[in-house]
Amino acid sequence: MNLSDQFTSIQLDRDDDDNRQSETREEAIEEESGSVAASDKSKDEDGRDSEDGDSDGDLLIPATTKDAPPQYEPVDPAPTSPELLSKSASPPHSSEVAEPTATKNDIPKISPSPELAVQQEESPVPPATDFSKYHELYTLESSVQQPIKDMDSSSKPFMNYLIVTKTNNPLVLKLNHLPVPEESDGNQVPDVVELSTRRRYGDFRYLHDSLSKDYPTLVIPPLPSKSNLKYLTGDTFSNAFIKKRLHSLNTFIRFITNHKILSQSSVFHLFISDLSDWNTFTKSLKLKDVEEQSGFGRMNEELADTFMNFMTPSKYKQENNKEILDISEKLKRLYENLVRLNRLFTKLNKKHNDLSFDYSQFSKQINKLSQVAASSDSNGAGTAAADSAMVNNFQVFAEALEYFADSWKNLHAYFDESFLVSLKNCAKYIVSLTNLINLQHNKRIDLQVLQDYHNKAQAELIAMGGTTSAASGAQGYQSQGLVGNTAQLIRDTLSTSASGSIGSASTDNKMAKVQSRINQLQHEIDIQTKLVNELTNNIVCEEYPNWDRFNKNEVKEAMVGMCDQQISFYQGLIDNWTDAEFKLLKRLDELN
Amino acid sequence: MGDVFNDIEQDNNPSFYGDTSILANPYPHTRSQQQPASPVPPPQHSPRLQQQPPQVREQSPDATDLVNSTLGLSNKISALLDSSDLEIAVVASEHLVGTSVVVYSIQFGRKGDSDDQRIIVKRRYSEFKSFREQLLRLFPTVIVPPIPEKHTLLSYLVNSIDNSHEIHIIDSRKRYFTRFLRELIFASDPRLRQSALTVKFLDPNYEMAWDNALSEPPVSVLPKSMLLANPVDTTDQNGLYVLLPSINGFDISKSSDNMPSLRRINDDLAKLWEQIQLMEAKRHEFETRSKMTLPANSEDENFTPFHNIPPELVKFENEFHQSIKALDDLDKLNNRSVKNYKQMIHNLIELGGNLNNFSLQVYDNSPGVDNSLSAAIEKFGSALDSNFLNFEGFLQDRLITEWQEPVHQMNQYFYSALISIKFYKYKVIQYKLLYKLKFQKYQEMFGTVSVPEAPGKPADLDHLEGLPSASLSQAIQKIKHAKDTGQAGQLRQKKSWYGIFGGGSNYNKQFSKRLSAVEAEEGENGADVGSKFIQMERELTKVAQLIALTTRDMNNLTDELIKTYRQFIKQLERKWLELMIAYLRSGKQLFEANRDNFTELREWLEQAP
Repeated sequence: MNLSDQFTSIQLDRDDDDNRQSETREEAIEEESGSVAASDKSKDEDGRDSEDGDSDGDLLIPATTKDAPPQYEPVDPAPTSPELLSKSASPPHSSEVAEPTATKNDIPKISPSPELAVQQEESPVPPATDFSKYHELYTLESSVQQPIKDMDSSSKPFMNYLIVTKTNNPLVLKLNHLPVPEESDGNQVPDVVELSTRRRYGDFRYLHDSLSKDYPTLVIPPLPSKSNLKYLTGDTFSNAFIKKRLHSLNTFIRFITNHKILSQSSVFHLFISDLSDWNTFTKSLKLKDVEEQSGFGRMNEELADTFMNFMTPSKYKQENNKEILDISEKLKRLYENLVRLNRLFTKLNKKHNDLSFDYSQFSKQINKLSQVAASSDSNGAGTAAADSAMVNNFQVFAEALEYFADSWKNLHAYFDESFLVSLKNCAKYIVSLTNLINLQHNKRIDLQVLQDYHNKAQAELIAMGGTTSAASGAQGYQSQGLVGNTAQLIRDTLSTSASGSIGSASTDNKMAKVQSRINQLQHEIDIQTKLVNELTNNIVCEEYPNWDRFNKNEVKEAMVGMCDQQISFYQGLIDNWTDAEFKLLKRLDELN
Repeated sequence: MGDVFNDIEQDNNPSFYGDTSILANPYPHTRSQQQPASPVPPPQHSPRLQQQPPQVREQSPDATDLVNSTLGLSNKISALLDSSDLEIAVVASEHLVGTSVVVYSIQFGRKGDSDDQRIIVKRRYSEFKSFREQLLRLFPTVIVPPIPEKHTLLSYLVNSIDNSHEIHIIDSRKRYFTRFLRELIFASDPRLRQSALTVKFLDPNYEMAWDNALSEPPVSVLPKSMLLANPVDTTDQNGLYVLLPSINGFDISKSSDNMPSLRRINDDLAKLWEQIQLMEAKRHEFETRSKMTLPANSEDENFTPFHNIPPELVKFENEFHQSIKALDDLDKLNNRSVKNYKQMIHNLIELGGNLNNFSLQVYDNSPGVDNSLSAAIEKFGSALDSNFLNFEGFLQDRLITEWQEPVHQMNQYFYSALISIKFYKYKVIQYKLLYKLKFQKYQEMFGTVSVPEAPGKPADLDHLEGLPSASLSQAIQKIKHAKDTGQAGQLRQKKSWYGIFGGGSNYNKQFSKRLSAVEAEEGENGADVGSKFIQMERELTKVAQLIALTTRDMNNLTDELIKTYRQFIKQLERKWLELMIAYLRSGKQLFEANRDNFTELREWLEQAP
């Protein structure tokens, strides 16, 4: 980890990003200048996704996806797909012919990446090994603990978190130069070792960004927000804030370790290992600050709005995959309920706080009464004994009340720092999953655009063939009447641009051109369809169930944790008050 | 139809009370006095009122039986009140038909008695109030348990809008009255429960005739102002008490106390004592000069002068004030906690409902789907629901009834204690007033009998008249004038002192009139100085008697109050202990219920897939 101030480093990151981004933007604009097909939908991703392809991520991809099983197709080609999409969505580009080729080249370049990676890394694990099984075969449990306030080189304070990992995963062991049994045949499981290292928030962020980049088709758990505002006020070191963050960071790590692909990622392995490699890695690679761009900070407060937008079906084309629709619907309901629950619990917790305050006041008031009794102590020999007993009684009671107030305060703190954070996290994770669904949805739209264009080109070809020119074109329109207005618009524009060129050059030449474009498009569509279907499949069969399992577990854990807290809250009170009651009863017996 | 009228006839028939069964069963079936079947409900009370007290009714052939049974009932009540296994409670409330007046049914009897054997008497708020006020008048040195304050106009207006609020107030009053009666009988001075007034209050025969009870002894023998009664035994019929000066602005039923603190009054008393010494010295000088004896305090051996207020009593007052301050704050705090608890319960209700809804929304009824999340959330919701029920029960049945209201009542107890202190203060002032009167009489005497050689003769100042001194002749003129106008006038002129203590000129006139009226009976008003002197001497004797009486009373009253307060403080500890223990117990009960609730949820979550 570079020791320069985190805040500044992010600033640097951002500057860097901005530069690179403006470059890519320019490229995009260049591409779009000739483009008429670039839909609004894909435009957003142009900026971001195209960068994935041509940024220094080229280096990173083979390095970081080395653990990804080659069998798991959607993962590997995924990074390239957005680029491919956006590029192919702008067919009139000058280099339109070259582009698909480049994309084609990309795929074989990545497919053998595991071998490449293996060669590059010291890891002798044969490429054939199925890492996805590692998740079931080996344990990998990490937890974040013991936040410590630390100073960086510019003597700015920051929080340092201890990450303790228990694992027997050979990948991790090897990374840490620990002995691994030769050629584990499944039965021979290495001993569990404990690793620990200290990481600061920036490292978590780095891990998150790397994972987002390497696995765009997976749900990457969201990090607790950066809270720049709190950073300025210095609240970042308040106990409550640290506890809340710690809780969220633990959830973040837990999600990764529970994920069968993410848990095997080498970035993560590097993250949990106490090696200098991590620092080298983070220093040498400046990742684009994705979170700042997408307004991660907003997630907290404006969660609902953002989410609702995602949930509104696209104007362009309705999602028609029933399973995805189902999932979306479920997520939406769950999300709405969580938000409401969060609000209600916050209200309830406020009452906990109020009552805790009441009881501490109550205790003080009882103490005052005991002072009144104490002041009358010197009243006369006859009453002195009774009065001091009375003072004692009041004190016993006041202590019991004070204990109640304190316990209630603790319960309030627990709700605030753990339970409510869990609820919020659940909501945030839903947003992450929804983002993924949204990506899938957008890709489908892109595919639709491609298909429209393809159809149009075919219609054009038929028109140039001469025989069924106007009628078939019209029929073509008719047959595709289902497609929305936007698609028609694109089509019209294309058609005019195409017809403009028809007038000047020879028909054969044009027909050949159109024919080649159609072929190209067909090819694109084939690839895209495969990719999108795989992505959809991945969401339906892997990511959603995985999230669902995780979410259920989190909700359950949150409830169990709350139960434990409540039980100990009440049990403590029962014990304390039984004690107080006993003392008072004793005195009452004396009186009788 | 005929049967119905028969029933009514019988119910309204006074001979019904002659029925011996009334003793065992005064109100069969504990049914309400109002007959729902009655075709004419409004005239229903008047016959009842007329038939009370039952002794008045003669037309019944069983008149003697009636009297006997009435006596028997009141004897039975007295016996019940003294027995330790009495159970008493305000069990119900109802509106008098056609009015907004609420009556509260007091039910009492021995432990183990069935409802039929228990006596029921119905009392309205104003009757409780006047009962308590009369007790205060009868026993000014005793701390009478408090009853709830009359609700304010605001709460009355709220009532008329919000019916549930009225029910709430009535319920709260039922509890207050139950506590009042129980503490009156079990935890107060025994004189309170042994009073004939208490028996009458609980006597169903006096149910619609509370005014009668107030116009009978012991209440009827009480003087108008309690300052004109023996403070330790208010029904003492000693005639001297009528002669005591009364002080304006004293009202025993009002808790406001604008008098200076006992400490300050004590300082005044010390000054008074100095004056007394001075006066005694003057008297002594006068007596030696005039060779006559003025009536002084009755110097019997039992007489102990009342010099000052014991510091213990002063401390008590201070303590009461401090306690009231602390309890007022506690009261406010309790009200706030109750409000917060209510809001929290409301939040819990809302949460429970939402969780339930949540679980329904998440529930997926397609086959083979794992609905554990939905089930867990539902379980969670129902846990919160029973949590809310526990809190609700704690709040309504425990916190409000066993803490908030008793603490408020405790505060009222201190106010009651302050009322007896106020009474004490007025008595002290009355005491001082008597001394001042005595001083005046002395001054008059000294003035009248300025020439010791000629007692009984008017001072002869004529030989001084021709002297060439303006001031001297002016003085002679004044003396002569004073002689002419008479003693009563002189008394009236020197009234500045009374004003301080609220005794206006009005009082002075009345008092001296009363005093001289007494004197007038004893001796004829002679115009000569000799008879005047005799009259003054008699007045002085009366004043001395009054001082002796009051001094004795003050000593008794002081002792009595200290005794009462010591007892009160002692009981206070017990009361606080009981309250605190009850609080801890009910808290524990709540905690246990909630803990079990969450334990159950936790176990369910554990075993859930």
